[in-house]
Amino acid sequence: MLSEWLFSVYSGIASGLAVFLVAAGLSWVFGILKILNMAHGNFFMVGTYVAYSVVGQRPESLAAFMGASLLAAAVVGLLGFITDKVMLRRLRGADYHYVLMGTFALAMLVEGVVKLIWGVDLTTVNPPPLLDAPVDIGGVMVPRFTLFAIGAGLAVFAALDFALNRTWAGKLMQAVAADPWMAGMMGINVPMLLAVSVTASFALAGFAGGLLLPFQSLSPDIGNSYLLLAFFAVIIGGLGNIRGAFLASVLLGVVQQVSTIAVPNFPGLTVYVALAVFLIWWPNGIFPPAGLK
Amino acid sequence: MGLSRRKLLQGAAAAAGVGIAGAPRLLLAQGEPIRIGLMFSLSGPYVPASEPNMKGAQLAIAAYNRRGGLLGRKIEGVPRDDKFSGAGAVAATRDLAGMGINLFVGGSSSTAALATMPLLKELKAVFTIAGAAAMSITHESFTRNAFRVQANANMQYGGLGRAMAIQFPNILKWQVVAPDSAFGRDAARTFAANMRLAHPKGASKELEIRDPMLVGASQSDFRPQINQLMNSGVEGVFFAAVGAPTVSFFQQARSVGLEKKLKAICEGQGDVTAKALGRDMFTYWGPTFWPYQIEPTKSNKLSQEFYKDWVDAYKDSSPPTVGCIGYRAATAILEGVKRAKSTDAEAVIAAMEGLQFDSPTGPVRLRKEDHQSIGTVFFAQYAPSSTEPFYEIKSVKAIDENTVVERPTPGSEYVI
Repeated sequence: MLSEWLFSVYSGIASGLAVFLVAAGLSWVFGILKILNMAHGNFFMVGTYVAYSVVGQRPESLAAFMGASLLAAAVVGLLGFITDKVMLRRLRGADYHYVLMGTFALAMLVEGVVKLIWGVDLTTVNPPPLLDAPVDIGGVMVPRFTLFAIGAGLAVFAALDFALNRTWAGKLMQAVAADPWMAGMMGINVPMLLAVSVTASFALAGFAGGLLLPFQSLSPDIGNSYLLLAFFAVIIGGLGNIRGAFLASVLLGVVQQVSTIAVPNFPGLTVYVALAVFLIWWPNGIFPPAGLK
Repeated sequence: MGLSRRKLLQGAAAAAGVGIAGAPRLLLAQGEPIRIGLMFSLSGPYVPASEPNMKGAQLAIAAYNRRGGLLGRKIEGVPRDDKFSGAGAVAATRDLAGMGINLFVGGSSSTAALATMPLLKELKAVFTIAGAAAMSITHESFTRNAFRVQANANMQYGGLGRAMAIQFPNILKWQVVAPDSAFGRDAARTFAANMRLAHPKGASKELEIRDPMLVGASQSDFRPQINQLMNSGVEGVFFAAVGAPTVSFFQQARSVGLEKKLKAICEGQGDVTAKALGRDMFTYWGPTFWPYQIEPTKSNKLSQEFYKDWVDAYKDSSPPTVGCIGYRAATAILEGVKRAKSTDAEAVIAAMEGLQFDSPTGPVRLRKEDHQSIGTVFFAQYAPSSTEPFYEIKSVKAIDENTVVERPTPGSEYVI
C-alpha cells in the first residue's frame, strides 16, 4: 500500500512537470503581453503532430526523438511569429473579452487545419528504445519515460528561470512586462521584444508537444488534456510567473494523482477543489503578478 | 346530362390551369431533398469513434439515394458537431430544427443523447441514437421520439461479461475500470452482473469482481491506476471507457508490462483501439460492431455493399467497425420514412415501432415498448499481426441479443 502512495506522488510529479512544459509558454506570454492564449493547447497539439510526422510510431533513437521535438519547436515558433504579426499584435491593448474570443477562434481554426492534414484517427507513439522499458525501483515498475519527463520539466524550468532572471535579455523582458511605455522611452525595442516573446512561447508549446508525444495517445484532442491543468497552474502560480507556474503544476499533478488513491470515487474532482482552495487563500496566486518574475 | 364539346374543352382548360398553377409546387416538392440531421461528436475525445459512426450514416444515405431516394426525393445528410457535451447537443438540435429538419441521427455519447431527448417532443422530431449506451435512454429518460439502434450497456457490456465468463472460466479475480459517468457505471454493473450469471463459479464467492475503479471521462494519465492493477492480484481487467482514454490506458499499460501480467484484458471499443496501437498491439477482447471479415457477416449482401462503399468513399480497406452503428441508425429512420410514406414525426414513429429491417450484421428489430433495437452483438479476440493494419481478429463470439436484453420498462429505472 505504501508503494502505491509513493508511486502516486512520483506519478504526480511526472504528470505535474508534463503540465509545466505546457504551462511555461502560456505563463510567459501572459507575463509579457497580458494575453491569455486560448489557442496554446492547439499549438502544443501541432507540435505533437509535427514530431510524429518526423519520427512515426517508433522513434529510432533518443537523438531522433529530441531532433523531432526541436523541429516541432521551430515550426510552432514560426507559426507563433506569423500569428503575432497577423493577429496578436492587433489585440494588444484591446479589451480582454476580444482577446479571449480571438484566441478561441484561432484555437478552432488550428484544430480544423490539424484534422484536415492529419485526420482524426487515434494513434500511439513509443518512447525511443532507450526510454521505453520500465525500471524497477524498490519493487515498483516505473516507466522510464516518466523519468525523462521529470528531467525535461526540470531542465526547461531551470533554463527559463536562468534566462529570465540572470540574463540581460531576460531583464529587458521583465522591464517591458512591468512598463512597456517606460521601456520604450529608455530605448528598448519593445515591438521586437514582444514578437520574440510570443515566438518563444509558441516554440515552447511545440517543444512540449514533441517531448510529451509518447506520454498518451495522439489525437486532435490532445491539447485539451493539458490545457485546462496548464491554465489552473498559471492561475494558482500567479498570472505570468514562471516559478509560480512550476510550483503550481507540480502541486496540481501530485494532488490529482494522489487523489486516485485517497478519494477513488471522485476522479478529477480534487483538482477543482484544489483550485478553489488556492483561490480562497491566495486570490492573486502564490506569486502575485507584478510583471514577469 | 350529355357532355358537350364546349364543356369538355372548358374542363380540360381548367384542369390544365390547375396543373400549371400547381406545377411549381410539385416541381419544388420533387426537387427538395429529405434532410436528415447528423449530430455526432466531431470534437472532443470521442472523435475517433464518432466520426466513422457519422460516415456510416452518410453511406447509408448515399445507398438510398443510389436506389432513387425516398418518396420521390433525394436524401441529404446535414452534419453538426454536438461537441461531446449536453450544451453542444442542444445547440446542434435547435440549429437543425431551425432549418426545418425533424429527422435526426446521432448521439454518439450518452451525455449528448440524453440532452437531446427532452427537446424532441417539442420539436416534433424523431431521433435514432447511434453510439449512446446508457441504460436510462430506454428506461427512466424514455421518450417516444427516440429509438436506440444499437446494443445498450446491458447488452453490449453484459454480453461481454458473459462472453468473458465462458471464454475464461478459470479467471476468478476481475477488475472493471470505468469512466465516472452514467455510461461508465452502467457498463461496470452490467458487465459484473452478467459475468456472474454466466460464470461456472458465479454463484460462489470464489468469483471476485471488485468494485469498479472510476476514472475521469476524458482522463489521459492512468499510471496510478495501472500501478494499482499491477499490485492488486487481479487476473482479468475490463476497461470500459471509449475514445482516446482507452488508447492512452493501453499504451501506458504496455509501458510497464501490465498486459503480460494479466491473463485477460477486454475493453469497450474494439478495433478503434487495435488500429491506434498499430505495431504495439497486444491480444485483448472487445466488441466488433461489424465483423465483415468473418462469416456469416462476410456473405451478407448489405455488408458487402457497405464495405465496398466504404473503401470507394474513404480509400480505407480496414473500415472502423463503429461505422456500422451509424449505418444502422440511418437505415432505421429511412426505413421508417419509407414505411410511413411521410416525414411527419408521428407517422414515422408509428412506422418504426416494431419495425424489422436488414442491416450489414443481420436482421434488426425495434422493440415497440421501449424503442430498443434487438439483433446480434459480436465480441472479437484481437491479436497482433505482422502486416497492416497490424491486428487481426482471431475469433468472434456472436450473442443473440434476445438472450441478453432486459425486459422493457420505459419510464422506470433499470434494475438488474
